[in-house]
Amino acid sequence: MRSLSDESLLAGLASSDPDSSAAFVRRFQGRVFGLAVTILGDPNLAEEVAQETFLRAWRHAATFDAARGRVITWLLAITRNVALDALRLRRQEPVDPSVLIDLRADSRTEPETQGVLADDSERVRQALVRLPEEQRRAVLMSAFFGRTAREIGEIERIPLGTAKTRIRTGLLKLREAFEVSNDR
Amino acid sequence: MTDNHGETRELVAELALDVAAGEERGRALGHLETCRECRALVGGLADAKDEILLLAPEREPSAGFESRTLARLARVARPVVRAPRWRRILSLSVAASIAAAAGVGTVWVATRSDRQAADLLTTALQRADGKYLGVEVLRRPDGTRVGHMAVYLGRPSWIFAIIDDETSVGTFDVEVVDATGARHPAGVLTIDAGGGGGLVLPSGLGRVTAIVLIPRDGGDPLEARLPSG
Repeated sequence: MRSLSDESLLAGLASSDPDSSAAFVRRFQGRVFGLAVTILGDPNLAEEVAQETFLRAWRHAATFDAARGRVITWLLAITRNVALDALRLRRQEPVDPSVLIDLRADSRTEPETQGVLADDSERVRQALVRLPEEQRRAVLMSAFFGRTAREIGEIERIPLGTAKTRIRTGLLKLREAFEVSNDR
Repeated sequence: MTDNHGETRELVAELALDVAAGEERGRALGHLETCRECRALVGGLADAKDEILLLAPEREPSAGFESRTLARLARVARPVVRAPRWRRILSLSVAASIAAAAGVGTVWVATRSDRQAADLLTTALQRADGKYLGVEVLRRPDGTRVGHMAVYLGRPSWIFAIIDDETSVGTFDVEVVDATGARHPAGVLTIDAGGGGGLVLPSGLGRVTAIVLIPRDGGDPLEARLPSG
């Protein structure tokens, strides 16, 4: 099972194959739970969210398109959606986005963060670090915590138009940075 | 291409991050249906958003998480017991009747033969250029069944909720869930003392996998899941 691709395991999960399902959960649980905790800050709620994420992955596996992206990014997008629903329903206070860059810097030396995933995280961190601070904060608040431009404007005490510009400019720059690093 | 090109360009990042709201979101989604360039830009930015999530540090859940998750999957993956035939026919009749009555806002349940119901359904879909019409069970998060929801996906798309349980009467924020699990606000639905209420959904919803009704009084959300595929 260790040698099977992410896509093969997802196909196994979709067909309710017990071995593939177990391997799929084992392979991604750290990533899924890690993102849920990052967004929610509550490990118990994050476990509920992680379980629901795997359930949705099973339910919607047929919609995964390998041509459009990787299993891990698809799965994390589901995690984000489930976590943001929980955040809203439980009125949980989101974590300060500025800690995200530091968190990543701390965790990258941990032994369990290995190989491709560690490279991915570092690549993202490097791209984010190059953004002006205010754009980075705006993008992180939206990407991780689902903050709207209006909410970011209120938090940062800036006009709505400025918040919108920060989100847009920041994300456009990131897309460019990711495209360049993928071409290398 | 519609006149909203400029407005949509301003909103591409918020659309990709799924944080755009209100009427401007509705207008932008309408524009995306006709503008390939904007669609591609939003798609590219959504990919960038997905990459950003890789920044979150990996963290192992508590011991036993894997087995608990697999047990939950196994429970859900069990074959669903189909409702009795008469009930399925009745459901189809309800859906077809709603389609025929769309715009009037009235629901009537007719006793029709299978063939008549199927004909009605086909005619209704053809007439309105619809993609989907069906009646789904409406449930609480614990799986308790509270009623049905008729769902029509077309131009316009609409829903009509029918509640068996009078404790669920009230006002709900409606959210549409797409294939990635993203939720999109779709308006407000009121279920009156008569046990029913309908809503026309915004355009540009993409592939709908579920409709969620969130009670404004803070109770449990109600969900109707659409068949996959």
